Amino acid sequence: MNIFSELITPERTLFKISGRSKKRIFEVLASAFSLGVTEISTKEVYEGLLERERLGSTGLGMGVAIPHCRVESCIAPMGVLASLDHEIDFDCSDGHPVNLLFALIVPYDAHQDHLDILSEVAKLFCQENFCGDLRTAKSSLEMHLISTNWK
Amino acid sequence: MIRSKIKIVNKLGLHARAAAKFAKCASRFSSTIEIGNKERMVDGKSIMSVMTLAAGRGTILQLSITGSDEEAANSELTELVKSYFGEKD
Repeated sequence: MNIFSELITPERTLFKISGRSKKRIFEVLASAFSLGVTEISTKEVYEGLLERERLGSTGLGMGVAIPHCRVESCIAPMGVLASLDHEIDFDCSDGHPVNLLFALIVPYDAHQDHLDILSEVAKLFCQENFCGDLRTAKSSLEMHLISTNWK
Repeated sequence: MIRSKIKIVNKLGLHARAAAKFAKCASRFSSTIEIGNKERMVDGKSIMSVMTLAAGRGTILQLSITGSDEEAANSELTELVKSYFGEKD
């Protein structure tokens, strides 16, 4: 069990989504959150992700970004893992474009939970093998298996 | 080498944006900058490493800086943390 097994589902693992801009990618990510979880408003998530991104890039470097926001209709943290078919510019501090994303939504009052999740996610993404395996995965199912079983 | 202690005072703690600001500020200096606690010190110039600390409000972190600009780095980073990373609370 790792942090991804708690936050993503096979439906919320997206393989090589297309989109040439942050906005387009955020639309796809936002709709994935409300798939099967009708309480979550796609519009609220989309606007939240955009608003957070305006405050500063959520790109972590090494081709990875973690767009995230607090959401009123969210009662427990949820995530969407996605790879992109074309890397896009994310204004990362290392200057590298992004092709691997983990989007996260948390309830408004989840302060320490939010920090703990970011910490666990960062520990996985800073392992080159982890990112490499996700990038060479051949399907969303394979990405889901890799991410949720990584020790 | 300068060693100092800094207390996280902003409401949201060392979250992603705060970690990014810290790493960005640290990267402007040539000194080696490490931040952490008794168990683990991490590279202060890496957003991902700083985020792994999961430091909430009230957490006291150790700062360890070595290099020709260590004094300036120590004072700017301490000021950044003290000033709530520019956040309102």
